[in-house]
Amino acid sequence: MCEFCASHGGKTRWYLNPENYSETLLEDKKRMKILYNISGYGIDYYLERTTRLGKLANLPVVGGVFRKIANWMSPGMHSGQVVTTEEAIKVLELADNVCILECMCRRLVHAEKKAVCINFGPIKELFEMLKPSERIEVRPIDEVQELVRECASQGLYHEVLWAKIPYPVVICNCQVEYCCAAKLRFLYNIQKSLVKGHFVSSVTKKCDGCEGESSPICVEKCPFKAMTYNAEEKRAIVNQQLCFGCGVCKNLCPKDAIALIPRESIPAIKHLW
Amino acid sequence: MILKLKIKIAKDKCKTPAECGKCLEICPTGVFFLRPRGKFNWKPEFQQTIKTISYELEPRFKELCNLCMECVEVCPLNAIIIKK
Repeated sequence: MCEFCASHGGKTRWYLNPENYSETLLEDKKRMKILYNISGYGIDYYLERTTRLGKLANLPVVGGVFRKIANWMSPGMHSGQVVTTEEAIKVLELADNVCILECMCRRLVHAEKKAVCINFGPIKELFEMLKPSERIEVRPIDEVQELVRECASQGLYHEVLWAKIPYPVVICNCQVEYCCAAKLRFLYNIQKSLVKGHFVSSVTKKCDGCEGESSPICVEKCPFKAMTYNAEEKRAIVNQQLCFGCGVCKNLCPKDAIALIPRESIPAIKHLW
Repeated sequence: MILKLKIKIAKDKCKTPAECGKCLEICPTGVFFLRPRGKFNWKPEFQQTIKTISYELEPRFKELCNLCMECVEVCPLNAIIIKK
């Protein structure tokens, strides 16, 4: 159980708790300010500002102080946690006002435009008010869930982002090369900008190393470089210290040889988030 | 060890990076970043007055650079210089 589930989860995880989706949480002024900034005209500036401040965490002596401040601040801002495909679909069942937007992080690095940003809550109204030129798609909920499954089959991982914990606002279908939250974590060591998920993958005995291939698909597609290939035993190995529990390897495995197990069941990595 | 690089972009040459975007597309590691120009006011009234955002190119994630020099070759304006 992560720290957010302990304080906001009730009996389940914080993003599966229906209380966290209620509209009474919008009365919080700080949360409304964040929602204004992350929607409409502010989003480009918001991403720009967070990545610029992250750079301070790499300074030689005072960097540690900035890293602590950033870790302390990010639960009150807009960052997220990795979830599996099944959990992402469950989150969409709880959410209302679902709309699909073009991915913002991909725009800032000029990648291919892709409408995979699944927003819910007040974001749709705010976008219609603040940024009418933006393309907003509204689809029935089962089609949106189908989109999540399609992204999973392409090898993208999902994350649920909060606007001030515990209010979830968006499900991203991401790739490490574009995602601003992942860049903050991997370049500047700010752990709370992208928290690890509640699962880790483990390779079962079914794995035969995808015979005849030079490198198995799970090793190739793992976004966090946690999988390696043992050529002698002909099977894939997970480095569970690096695993985020996104479930990309499980979704892509042709032999169904990878299982997702809860993080709490392994004492060595229980405290790594 | 991280190489100490200097990636310079001649801003007088590179004026509309969001429309061109060749360096952003070709970079295999994603060093470049489109930075929105100018200062920004966080009040919602101010946000409604902005019609379009103009961007400028910045090597924000230069720790990722692997010195393949493809951006220098592809730039039609010769605006990118990489120094050690």
